[in-house]
Amino acid sequence: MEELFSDVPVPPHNPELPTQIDEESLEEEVNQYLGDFRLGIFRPRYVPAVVDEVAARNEFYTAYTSYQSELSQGMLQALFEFQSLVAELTGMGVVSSSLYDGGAALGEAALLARRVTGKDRVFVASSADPQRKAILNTYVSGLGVRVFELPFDEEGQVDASAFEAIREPAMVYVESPNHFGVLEERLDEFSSLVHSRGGLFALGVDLVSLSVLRPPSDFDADLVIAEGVGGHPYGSSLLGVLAAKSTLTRQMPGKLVGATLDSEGRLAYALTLLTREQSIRRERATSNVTTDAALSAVRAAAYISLLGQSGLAKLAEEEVRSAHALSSALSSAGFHSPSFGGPFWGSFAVVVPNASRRHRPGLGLPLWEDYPLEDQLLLKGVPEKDVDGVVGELLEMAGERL
Amino acid sequence: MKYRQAKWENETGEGSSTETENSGAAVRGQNEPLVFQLGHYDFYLPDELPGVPKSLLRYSPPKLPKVPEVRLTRHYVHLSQMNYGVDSGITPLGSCTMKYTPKVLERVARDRRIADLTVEIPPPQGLLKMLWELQVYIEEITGMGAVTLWPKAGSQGELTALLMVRKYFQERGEIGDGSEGQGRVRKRVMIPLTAHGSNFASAAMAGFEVTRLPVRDGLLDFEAASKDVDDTVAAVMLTLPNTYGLFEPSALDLVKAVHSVGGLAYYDGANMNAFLGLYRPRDMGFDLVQLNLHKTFASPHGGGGPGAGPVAVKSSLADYLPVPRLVKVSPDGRPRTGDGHAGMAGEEFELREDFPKSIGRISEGLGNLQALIRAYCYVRLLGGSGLADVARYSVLNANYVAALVKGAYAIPSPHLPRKHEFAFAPRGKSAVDVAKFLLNWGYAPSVHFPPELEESLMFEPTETEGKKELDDYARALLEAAAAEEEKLAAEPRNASVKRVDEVRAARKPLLTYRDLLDSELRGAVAARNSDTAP
Repeated sequence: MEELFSDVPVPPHNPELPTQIDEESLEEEVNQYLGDFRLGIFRPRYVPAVVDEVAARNEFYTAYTSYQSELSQGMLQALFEFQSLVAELTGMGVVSSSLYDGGAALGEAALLARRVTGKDRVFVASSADPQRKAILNTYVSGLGVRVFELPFDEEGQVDASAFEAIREPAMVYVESPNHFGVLEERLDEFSSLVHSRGGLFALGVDLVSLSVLRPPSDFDADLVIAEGVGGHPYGSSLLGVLAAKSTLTRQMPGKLVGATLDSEGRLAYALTLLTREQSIRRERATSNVTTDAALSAVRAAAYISLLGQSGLAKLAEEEVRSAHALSSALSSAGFHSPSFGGPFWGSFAVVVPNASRRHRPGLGLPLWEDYPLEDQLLLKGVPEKDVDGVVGELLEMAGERL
Repeated sequence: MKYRQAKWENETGEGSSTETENSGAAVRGQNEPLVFQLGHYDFYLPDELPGVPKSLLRYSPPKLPKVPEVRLTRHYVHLSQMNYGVDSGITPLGSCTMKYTPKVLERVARDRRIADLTVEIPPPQGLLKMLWELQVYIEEITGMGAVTLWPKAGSQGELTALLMVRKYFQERGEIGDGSEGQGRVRKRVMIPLTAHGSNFASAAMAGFEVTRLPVRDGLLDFEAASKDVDDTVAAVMLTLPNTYGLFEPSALDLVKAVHSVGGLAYYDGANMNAFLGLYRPRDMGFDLVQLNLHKTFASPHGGGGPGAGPVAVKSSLADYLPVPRLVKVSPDGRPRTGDGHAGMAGEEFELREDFPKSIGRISEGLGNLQALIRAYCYVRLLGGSGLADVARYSVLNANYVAALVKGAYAIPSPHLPRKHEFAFAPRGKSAVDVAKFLLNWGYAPSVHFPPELEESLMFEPTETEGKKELDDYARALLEAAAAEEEKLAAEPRNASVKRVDEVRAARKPLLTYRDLLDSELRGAVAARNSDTAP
């Protein structure tokens, strides 16, 4: 055996690692580490059990990327269906089969816009998701792209005069609903303004909301960015969605699945337009993406297909109604809720005096960490039975200052 | 054609050792309709939503199927039967390290407590403790001084590391802010032609010019490469062992040459399986390395992802790592790193953002948390000596198969030992034909990679395959070498489809169900549906 390593000119090193343990002890150890932590009031969207079952199929989760089409028809069809379902929801012509997360999708979108427009200025709404914005900045930092933030107004919407002042954009990115839950009402104007200045208009959306809200294609968006649906553990958003107009197909980053025929004339699928990709184009590729997030895309497709449009719409309706119910209850209790004037979707900001000092984790997302919004928390709806409890806890936090 | 069909005969009850017609199926299902052809279209548009202006509401619903749970389950079971993974059989793709995932890793990674965590809640200390320990393990395995766990793929790890290189030279005044011509500018990254395409693409995304380094017979042409080394080189990116499965000692000379002009050396850990627990990139002189947890640390590939690509760097580059940084906090509130495996008592871990030289955030949340937890578990299960055995057996397995087939295929630099994989080329046949023949048993080699070897194929067995699997694979390879060209062109015969027309797919891309219905393939879509009707 040593002979096989005889050509390695450095001495081997025995790593100092803890003694190995058996399977049973390992499970016990992890169980202790994870412990008994309290779930917050604000739960992630429920993921039906069937979605986990689908993702647990060994032939999917232990498969390699579908380069050998004949052995990968199942995954390829599942990804083709994902692309198609997201295309239906967004109204866009082409959908990347998966990227790592919303931040990577936004970063890739900016790089795409730079290639297409030949410009190096990117404008992003300050009200967009803070992590996405941070990742965007990192993604473009090597290429001399400058990122400018567009401030928000008292409605929580992009400030119109700042928007009017945009010059020479490669891309302008706006979210609706944005990080404050607020819906933008001037997307038509924004879109045509961006186009008149020669840039691409990129819209960040919530896929579930698109079951009832006007799709990005209605606003003539060039690019659409979203996070996956169908579950991903905390902090591990594991599916970035990037959709685009068909005219941008050959500039898309990452994998695309296309339909074709096999040698007997039957329907078949393959990864396609590979000449965009790093494996062939190397430094002239549209992106460095190799490993992506295929299994998360299958989860999303299963989730959307199980709920259907009506299921998604009822879920969206429930999220909006419960958020409004909580906001009204807070307002009645004397809080300034919502703190922004614009129409809001499944979440909203509220002023809770003392929150910056007395905030307890799990009770809303502190907005002062990313914005000059002292004592403002981001909340989303809760089940009816929990409303009084949440109001009570926030009253306690505010104390005498309310 | 006669072939011994150990794998599938057992399942079909046709005996296990006789020579039979090649009638097995590498994948079993076929003709599953599209999800759009299942279920029904059930629409619901609320007349109004509280506070939402009507002008923002849809006037026509998106056309999404609503599929009953039982039908949806069967849809995906059928699709999965048209797919093939490590759990189906040996998946010996080169440079991909398709090893078996011990099932306990899956059970732990799917824990509901991980799935239910939300961003509103700070991650529990025990979880951070595991992640911190994993950082320490990676430091120990690579010889580096600091780690980020957050990149969600190997290529995102490459980008992370190259942006750190960029930042490092910006701090030193050797890279300006886009304005050139001001003396020395570290603008180049050197990459051998044997490297994965992602290296080149990552370098370009990080704003570097790429210098392609020539290769001869699978090995870096050191003389030619070293002439190109000067103080405009920011970094050299090297994959060791390289994609031919060869260790190249001259690579380490190139590392020295680049260091001598002030450049940095980056180790692409895609092939780390060959050295795991045995040799450390830092000991070879490298400054930065990314590891692919979905290759080397047994996370499954997920049919393409998600993966994880942590980056480890020498201590002097730690300031440039992405935020948040996971640190251990001592009682006086100061962050500490790298002091071994103390118990939980009194320890506290924090995610910190206050690192002004950091490249910033590279991914959302805590990376691919499930892959990180699997990697933690993998190291705990194997221990140090177990990890070294991974390297030894992966290398032994590759050399064993190479020895069995070297008479029938061209193998570059045959006098050298292979490492964990090897590149080879059929004599007088097309690599695609050989590969499609192998697909009949689920054996999918990498094809046309490495690109510099004509008609190249690649094979990487990994340490998790046994002698029987390797013997079966070698026999199939020898069959393919002996088979007539015309016969190969008809392969594969028993996958869920016959040979797929990939040229057609690219010529006129049909990327959605709508595209499909508007195309001449409409009839083929309808055929899918009727095939499965009762």
